[in-house]
Amino acid sequence: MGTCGIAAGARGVMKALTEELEKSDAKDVLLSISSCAGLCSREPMVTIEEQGKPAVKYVDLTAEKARKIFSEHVLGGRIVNDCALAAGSERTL
Amino acid sequence: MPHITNVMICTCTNCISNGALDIKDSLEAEIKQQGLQDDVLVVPTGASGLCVNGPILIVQPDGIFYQKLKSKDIANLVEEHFLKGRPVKKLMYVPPGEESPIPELRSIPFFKDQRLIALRNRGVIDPDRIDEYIARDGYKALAKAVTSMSPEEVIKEISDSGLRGRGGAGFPTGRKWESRRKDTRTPKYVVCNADEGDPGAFMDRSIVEADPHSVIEGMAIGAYAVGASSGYVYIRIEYPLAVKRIQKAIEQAREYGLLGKDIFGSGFDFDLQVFKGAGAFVCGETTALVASIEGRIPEPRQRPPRTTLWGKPVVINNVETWANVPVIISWGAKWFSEIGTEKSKGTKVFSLAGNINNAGLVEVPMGITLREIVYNIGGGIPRNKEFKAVQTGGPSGGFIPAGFLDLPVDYERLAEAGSMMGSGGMVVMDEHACMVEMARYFVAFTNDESCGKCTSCREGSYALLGILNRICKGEGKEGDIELLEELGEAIRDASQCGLGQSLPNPVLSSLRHFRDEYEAHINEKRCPAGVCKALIRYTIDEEKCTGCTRCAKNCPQEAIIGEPKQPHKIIEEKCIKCGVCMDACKFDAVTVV
Repeated sequence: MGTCGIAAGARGVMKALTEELEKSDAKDVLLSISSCAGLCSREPMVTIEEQGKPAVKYVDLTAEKARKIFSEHVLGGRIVNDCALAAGSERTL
Repeated sequence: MPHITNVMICTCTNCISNGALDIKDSLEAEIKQQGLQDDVLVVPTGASGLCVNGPILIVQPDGIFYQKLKSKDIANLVEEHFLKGRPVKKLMYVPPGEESPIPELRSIPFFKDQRLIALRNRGVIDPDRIDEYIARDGYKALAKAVTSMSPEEVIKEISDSGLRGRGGAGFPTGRKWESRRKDTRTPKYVVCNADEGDPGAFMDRSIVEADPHSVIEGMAIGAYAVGASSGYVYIRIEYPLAVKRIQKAIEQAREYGLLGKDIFGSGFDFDLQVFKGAGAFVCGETTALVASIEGRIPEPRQRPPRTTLWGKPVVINNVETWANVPVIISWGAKWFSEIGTEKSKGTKVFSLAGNINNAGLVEVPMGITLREIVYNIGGGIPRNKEFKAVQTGGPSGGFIPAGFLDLPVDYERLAEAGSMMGSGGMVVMDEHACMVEMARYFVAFTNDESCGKCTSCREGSYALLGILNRICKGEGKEGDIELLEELGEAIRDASQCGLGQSLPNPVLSSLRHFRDEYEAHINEKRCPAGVCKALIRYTIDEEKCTGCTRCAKNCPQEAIIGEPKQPHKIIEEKCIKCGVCMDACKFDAVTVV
């Protein structure tokens, strides 16, 4: 939710995820914001971090795609290959 | 020093029964044997959830998962992965049913060559929660500085690191701090310059939005070093989200006692406030910036004497400079100075914009070549067009042509090429960019933003703009090029501040590298890139035109005539040269001549 993400429609994606989270019974899902992840041209972007697994970055999202990711990946544990960019984290320090 | 790599070994009952403890011992022994004990830390953890395939290893931060390990695999694993950086595929875990596993983030060119220091927390933390910053070692450097280092030691660390100002000029940060430390006048101030204004630049905004605490922590360390007890974040009101986030971050830091009185029980007091600038470009210049804070008209003044705030010593550093400070204190000057080139240490954040596939924000080690930035990280030019130039340093910078693509990026080398590092804006231009028009655009910007104090800048930019306007309109005449050069040099020599001194750069650098384009405009009344409207004409190729009527339907001027299925024609008197027909045509029949 940096300026770049918001300009590309991140609020709609956030709203969809908030709604899906409320609809589900999931007690172990934390929805949090973050800011510019660098690849501004592929925003809106969502990262799913599951304990013990590499984080998965999704790009070029819409509200609809976000709902699909929520049900298939967050609840179902299956990576949605068509909108996933990559898994893992960046080189810091 | 923190370890670079953490190896999480699952030591749940299940994995122990599968031999996890033996694996742990042989791992530790092997890591030591390879001399990697300072880089790789073995961490026993609880059940990872996949212990059926145990013993399990998770290598962080790479996020690589190894399964079903045997003691005999360990020597090879340590050598290949930790020493040579090549994960061992045959031991890796592949999720069931996943035919084409998605690529690893670090194998993607955009991320592969980046190295994050100032942007260390980007996309990973919630900027509105101080706890998330703290969880990633935030405020640890401030604690270290105020409880275990003297101000002189902090300054020495920053000096030794070789950190130079990231706002553009590249002044050594340690030397700046030292001079303010020695100044006996009090109180002293620290200021963060977040008045980013170059067209196409958004580094500072992104850092403040993504990780405001890194800036606050850096400023607190700087304040401790020079002996300041208050500071300002000078940020333009045109960055509303960044303003909101830094304000919230300051409040949270106060709540946690990380700003305010007696920080970490050390007796050091420091507090910060946000000063919202109205968005004048000149306010990024330090003497104008302090004038703005003091409530005066932001007009720069001659230096020396050194910039002061309310007549007192002040350290003004750019957002990115401040964000680097905590890392240098935590990891040490030696570590930092090993990154980069001889005179330019560390990394630099650039915003990539213009005709480039991966527009965005990148942080790369100094010394990387422009080619690597544009082609590897940036993904090249859209639609495989030809690269023409990259503009660095905004309106104060210059154009760097294709011949300089292998230039390593550091302060000195960019200056040699007639441009400058600047704050980090990079605008990439393809073959359809007219360099005369681009120079005109930047001069129009600086002419508009000139504060008007120096005649050379105020009138000089106006005169430059007049000549460039004429050339773009096809009214250029012999002697214009020489006049542009003479004027440009005079403006550079006679202006007081950086804005005036550097405003001729886009003109002078485009004249240096693209003189033939100026000559074509002036002598042949031709715009080689097909941009300057007065010098171009749109026509329809009768051979290629299928008479589909698409261009005629889209033309806002109804300037295209022709029967369906017959070649169409543009009526020149009506045409406003908007280019809509060219974009609409599916048969490449519309061309610019």
